[in-house]
Amino acid sequence: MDFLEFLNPLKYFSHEGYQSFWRTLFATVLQGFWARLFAASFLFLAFWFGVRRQRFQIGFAYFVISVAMTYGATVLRFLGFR
Amino acid sequence: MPGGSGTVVITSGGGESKPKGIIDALSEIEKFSAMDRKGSEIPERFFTTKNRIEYFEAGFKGSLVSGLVSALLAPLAIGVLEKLIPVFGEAEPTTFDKGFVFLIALSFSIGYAVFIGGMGRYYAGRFTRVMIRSFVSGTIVGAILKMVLAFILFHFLYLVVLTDGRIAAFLSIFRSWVAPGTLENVYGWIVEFKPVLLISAWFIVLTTVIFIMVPVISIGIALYRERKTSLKEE
Repeated sequence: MDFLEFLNPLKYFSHEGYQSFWRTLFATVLQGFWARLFAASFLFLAFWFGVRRQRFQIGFAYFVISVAMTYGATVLRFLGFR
Repeated sequence: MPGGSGTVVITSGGGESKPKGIIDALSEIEKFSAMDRKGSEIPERFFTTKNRIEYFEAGFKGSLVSGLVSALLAPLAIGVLEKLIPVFGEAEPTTFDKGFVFLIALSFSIGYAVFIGGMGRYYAGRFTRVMIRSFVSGTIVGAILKMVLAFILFHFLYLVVLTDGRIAAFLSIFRSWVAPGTLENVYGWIVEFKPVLLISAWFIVLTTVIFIMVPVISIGIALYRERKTSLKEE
């Protein structure tokens, strides 16, 4: 199955490198300044689309992303991902 | 005939289309409000009992769902304030974090309240008034039901489920897999978190009262303006 092998990230990264990539991503996106900025921006977009433009589905999607940004690091920490 | 002339042709049979949610209801209200204002006044009975129930149902469902989202996020927000739940990966929340978690917890209700509050400007003409009243009464009943459900759930969790004995018995199931120190930490965290449920229950009562007041005040303002205008005309 060459196609599935093409999708396997471990073909391009080592196990440690791959794990480190996700850890770095979570540490930068879900914590500190960037997490606050992204969460606030997505909540703004949620209000903009949901209330102002009256597009509830998009507004709700942005709201879910904002909640994930806010509590994502907490959930990952709870799951033992540090 | 308030402020206009001309013939009004009601193509949708006096609000026959069933509103699936707040957007449908608001659109119909806007449409019939325009007819009420510019055309011949539509008789109140054109809005049939079936229509009233449908609008009540739409308001009820929307308010219940949006309220439940807020009810679920309230303990998280209060947990952040009590420094029991980390936010943005940090255990010590900043002033921004505290405000933001509350904004997130209430955003659904705020968005819904803005919509409902906006309906007040269409509160003119008998037909539109009945539409709005049906929708708003459904919204208020939905909000009260959500408040009662959340209040009972959080009190049930605090008083019945999360007793010291039950927590200890539940955590003892994991004795074979989890280190005793970790279990003690979890036990301590749950015991500390318990009062957050009670604060959340009362927080939801407070926010529901404010949420209910929004459409009531909005309709009140519309009625006041109308009375003022009619007094001026006299």
